Amino acid sequence: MDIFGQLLVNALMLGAIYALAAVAYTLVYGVIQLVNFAFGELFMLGAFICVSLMLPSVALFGWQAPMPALPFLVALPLAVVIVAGLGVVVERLAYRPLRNAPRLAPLIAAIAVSVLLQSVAQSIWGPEELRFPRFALGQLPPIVLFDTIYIRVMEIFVLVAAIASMIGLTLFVQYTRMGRAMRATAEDPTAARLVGIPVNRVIAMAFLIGSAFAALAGVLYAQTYSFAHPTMGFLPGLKALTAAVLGGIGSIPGAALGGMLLAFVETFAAGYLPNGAAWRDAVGFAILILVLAFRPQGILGRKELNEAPAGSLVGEQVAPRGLFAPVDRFFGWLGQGNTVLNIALACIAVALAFIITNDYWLRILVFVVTYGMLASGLNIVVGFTGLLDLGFVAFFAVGAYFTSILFVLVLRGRFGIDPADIWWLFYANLFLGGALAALIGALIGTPTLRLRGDYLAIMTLGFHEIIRIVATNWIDLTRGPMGIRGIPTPSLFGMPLMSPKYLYLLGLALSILVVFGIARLVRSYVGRAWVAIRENEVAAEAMGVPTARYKLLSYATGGFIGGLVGVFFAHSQQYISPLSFSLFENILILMLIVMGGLGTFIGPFLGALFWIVFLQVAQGMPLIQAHPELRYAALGLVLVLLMIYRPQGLAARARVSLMMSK
Amino acid sequence: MSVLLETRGLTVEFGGLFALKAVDLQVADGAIHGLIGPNGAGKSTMVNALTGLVPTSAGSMQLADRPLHGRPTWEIADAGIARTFQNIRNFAGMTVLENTLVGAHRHFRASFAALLRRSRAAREEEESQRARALEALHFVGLRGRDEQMATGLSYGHQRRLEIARALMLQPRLLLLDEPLAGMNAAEKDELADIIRAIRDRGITVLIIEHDMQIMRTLCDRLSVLHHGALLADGTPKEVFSNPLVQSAYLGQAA
Ligand SMILES: Nc1ncnc2c1ncn2[C@@H]1O[C@H](COP(=O)(O)OP(=O)(O)O)[C@@H](O)[C@H]1O
Ligand SMILES: [Mg+2]
Repeated sequence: MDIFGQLLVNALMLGAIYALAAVAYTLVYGVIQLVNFAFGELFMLGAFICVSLMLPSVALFGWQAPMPALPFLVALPLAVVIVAGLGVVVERLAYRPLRNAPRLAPLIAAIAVSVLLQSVAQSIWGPEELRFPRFALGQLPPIVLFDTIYIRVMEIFVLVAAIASMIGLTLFVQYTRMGRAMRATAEDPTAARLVGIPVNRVIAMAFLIGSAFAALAGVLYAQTYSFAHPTMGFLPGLKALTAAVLGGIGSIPGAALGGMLLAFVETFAAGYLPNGAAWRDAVGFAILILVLAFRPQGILGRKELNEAPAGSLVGEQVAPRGLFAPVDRFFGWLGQGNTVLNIALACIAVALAFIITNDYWLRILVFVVTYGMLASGLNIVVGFTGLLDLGFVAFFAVGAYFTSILFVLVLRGRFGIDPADIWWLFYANLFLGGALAALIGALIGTPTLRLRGDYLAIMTLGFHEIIRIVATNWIDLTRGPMGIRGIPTPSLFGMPLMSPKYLYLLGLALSILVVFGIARLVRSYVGRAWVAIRENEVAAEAMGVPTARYKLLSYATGGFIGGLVGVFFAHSQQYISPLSFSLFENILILMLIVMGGLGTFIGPFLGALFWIVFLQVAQGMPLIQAHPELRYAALGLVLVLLMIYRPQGLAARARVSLMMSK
Repeated sequence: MSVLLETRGLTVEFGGLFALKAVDLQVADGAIHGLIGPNGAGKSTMVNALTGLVPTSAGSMQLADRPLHGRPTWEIADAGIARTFQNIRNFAGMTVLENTLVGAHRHFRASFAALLRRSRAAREEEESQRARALEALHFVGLRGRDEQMATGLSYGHQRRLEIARALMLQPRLLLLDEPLAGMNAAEKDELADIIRAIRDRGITVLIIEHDMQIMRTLCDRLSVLHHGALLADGTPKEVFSNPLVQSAYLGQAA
């Protein structure tokens, strides 16, 4: 009884916060069918701004700035208003130019904005937690129920604030002109435009209200856990999105219901399951996957999520002009798939191993090929098949953990076998790790087959989080956050390939194999089926392409490469931990492909090369030394600009032929 | 004369609106069959139902004894029904030839391993389908445009590309949803000749079109849909002299 009552109170609190943030996702989704991943960051900004306003002074960019030290009840609405305005600015600058772009473009822009905002916040407030200051309302003595349940006054405040804003929003949507216009736009945007509804203003309004809700949720969350931090919006943002999907995205009561449901499941799982606190997030995401598999429209959802095809960012073949003309001419030439040219390119890459004698730079090249291969695998799914996959890194993790557990924990730890005696197993594991990842990909993919578009992206996200949580918490299997050390370097006939030069050459050989394999699949009826799905799923199906099967095949093929690279990564780094497989890593890889050119063979490597060289160059800049996170801000900014001005990426002209060369 | 396609009591409902009401349609093997009716009569819905793109709420449909209802779209395509779309749906990021080859998907047999090895069978298969695709493009009048991007084609040529792609399936029945829309008289005549040539290759055609001048001479039989119900059925002559049909069209004009 005692713990039950307290859990009930906690679940209600968390549910109210999730519900508020879920409204943000649902509102914007309802009006423009965009999953605005940046709400997690607006949530975080709400918290930071509120805390800053309540303090007498705050360190901004490392400078102590005077602040008004407002009371909570003044700082809260002010923070909400500021963030609401910011949300509208983001919409205007980053999303409105993409209104008529292929569906993938605004989604990627949203992810980029999210990275940008998070990095900027870290620059402003620093990477440490900012403690939530004490304030009068928070200091009132708690109310005690049944002698065991403690309810703080602030908890009542949270609940009242959440309920009041929900009711306010519902009334607004029901009874005001603007609210009705929003509903009409959600029902049918084209018709809404025809009957003269100012669609742009309606969308701006959805962002305004959505951002306000996200900020309110952020402040309440920070208050509950008494801190603000640049990454604090990430997980609650995912949870809020999950809640919105559970309840039925597009539905306001659905958001409330989904938020409460998720919070209750999580809180009670944490309270009653053995070691529940570690697994609470996994339980939440498992529920998401179950609901998506059996009732994709969610509990109260009425219509299908966005079914518009992903569309190609690759397709447009504009004549080279302007800034990118030389780049275009170069890649146009490169993209002709000339054998001589390919061999020359490979020779240059091999020659680098002998030209560069500096181990440091060779190690960097190892990273370039690792990321390039990884990005090539994801490129099959996103670039060729047009499915946004936010769970790809999980395959990478599966491969890496598979080989590490086998070599270190089982063979050496249990049986005392010296890795040098079984050097060939590494090469076998490249294949086995890939196959295992592909198998898992197929298993995970199967329930998503009925899903289209955005649901799939959300599902992969849930899958990724579960794998990450398992890697962190199943300590007996993975050694948890400590990671696995002492993974043997690859060797050839017992001769360890310890030096970066050999590792690079090995990685290069694998890269050539990977690209070669992908090219052979893409330049065949399989590749044409994939691209057809990307361009128009309905037409592909009507042409006799079993689209579900080919989507699964795409996942599994990408997963195979992810697993293979995971094996290589583990052995070349000799150490792995859950940190190498964060969602951010996934987003980074995605951004690299977009930068290099989605749906090209060279793009993933190009993106990896640019990024990793940029990281090195940036290390020499004083500004970056003081604020390393600005590198990610730059990446986010470049991506938003690319989406608007050049969605095809650098290697746009390296269009891949989808036919076997004669 | 045998019946190739038959629907019985085919009904499609969109949230209370009956887009098709118990339609019994028979299309004879080897015919050019016209489907006409005012805008919103349910013609496109008929084609979408036949290809499994909208769920039917009652009734049955079969292609030469093979039941189709409840089958997924790709299976229906595999069973021998190809189609074009009222609003063109070519694959934007592909060349004309690649677009056409997607229609040949069901003829490919090569396994992953064979593709990776690029086995002889895989190469021969690709080669023979490519030859067929070039022939199909030639047939619809797109000769020499195979390397071009599909989006770069003129509107009329995009429609022809859709037909070429559909022909690659080697269908028994081809459904054409307003293939002549937006074309001038000369282009329409040209395309009508292509449609006749398709029929002469043994492919049955079901065509939706508003130009009655063309339909009168092109079609062997006509069916008229009105408010989702089958209003009349017969030779063009019979149908056009049917007072019900005249009033349906006049009613729309008024
Ligand atoms: N996906 C859909 N959802 C709801 N209503 C639809 C849908 N598709 C068609 N309709 C409705 O069904 C009716 C028939 O449409 P359609 O088959 O496109 O007519 P036609 O092709 O004869 O002009 C119209 O009233 C149309 O609004
Ligand atoms: Mg129509």
